[in-house]
Amino acid sequence: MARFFYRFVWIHIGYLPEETRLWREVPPGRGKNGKIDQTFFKDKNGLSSDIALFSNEKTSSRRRVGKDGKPEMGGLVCFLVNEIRANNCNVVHAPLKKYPIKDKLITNYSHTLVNGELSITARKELAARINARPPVVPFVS
Amino acid sequence: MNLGNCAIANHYPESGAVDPFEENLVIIEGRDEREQESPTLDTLIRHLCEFSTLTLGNTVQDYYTDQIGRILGNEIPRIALHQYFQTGINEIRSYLDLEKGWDGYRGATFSKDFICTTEKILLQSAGYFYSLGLEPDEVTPCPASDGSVEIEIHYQNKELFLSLSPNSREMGIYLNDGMLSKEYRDILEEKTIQKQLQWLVG
Repeated sequence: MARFFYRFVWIHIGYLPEETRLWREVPPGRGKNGKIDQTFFKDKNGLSSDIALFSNEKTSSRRRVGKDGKPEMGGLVCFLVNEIRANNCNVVHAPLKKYPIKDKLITNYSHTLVNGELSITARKELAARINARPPVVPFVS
Repeated sequence: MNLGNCAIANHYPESGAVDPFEENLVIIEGRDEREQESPTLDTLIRHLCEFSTLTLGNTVQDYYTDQIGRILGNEIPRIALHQYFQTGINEIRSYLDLEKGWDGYRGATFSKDFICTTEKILLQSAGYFYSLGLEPDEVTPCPASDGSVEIEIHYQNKELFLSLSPNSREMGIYLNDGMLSKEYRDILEEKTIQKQLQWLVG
């Protein structure tokens, strides 16, 4: 009920608790041998992910729009807010309302951004840590 | 010997593309008359790599390889790139097909010029390994959501990551020898990459 209210009123969450679980989609063909590589966490414009609490597996793993304009099934991996903050970066809530991607307007209340760019060392450690866990949604290499 | 010139100009109007092979072939052809020193195999490979980068295709490369082989008495009838580099190049070219939002979020697209640059670096690395008669353990290019590309080269217990961004004259470099790792930025140029490759095989 509280989740519905947050989303309905479009409340901007000022501070994400340390143990907040984040999901990030692994596009088809992106993982190699069932593992993600460190560039999965590279985005100088702010790494995108979803707050697991405000999303679901189906939605978060089908954000990618295919060539036919329909959502494409990807994989999903999970990490925690404090795993990002441990590397001198912060995670902030950045909900998207009618954000244009490929002629489509995407609305994603659960969207978050990483402020700052993770170093290669940090990305390698994070990728290794996530690869040691089972993915939320398995991905095809 | 005007093969492919039009294609180069059309594909890369801003790259200042010249056929690096044109000049080289003149030297080869005039070798007997002027008794000039023949170009080294390394030079030929380097120029071939440069030319291949500019055309983004194999047909013309094969043609020129045949030409060199014929001129040099079939000493090098075919220059085959190592499997890892060839796979890497194919993968890098596939990034041109990625559309905005390819990562499920706001993934940026990859321009032809940028793909050309990354391919050139990969070919330089291929040429370096080829000239030493060595083979890398792994060569992996990886696309990032911000439209940048990382090239990972593994050799024995060492790792070299080159992080390339579009419209940037700098690149990120990560070196790891299994004991210590180092990360820094440097100017994106041939001699910088050469230096990193020397470290990798050293």
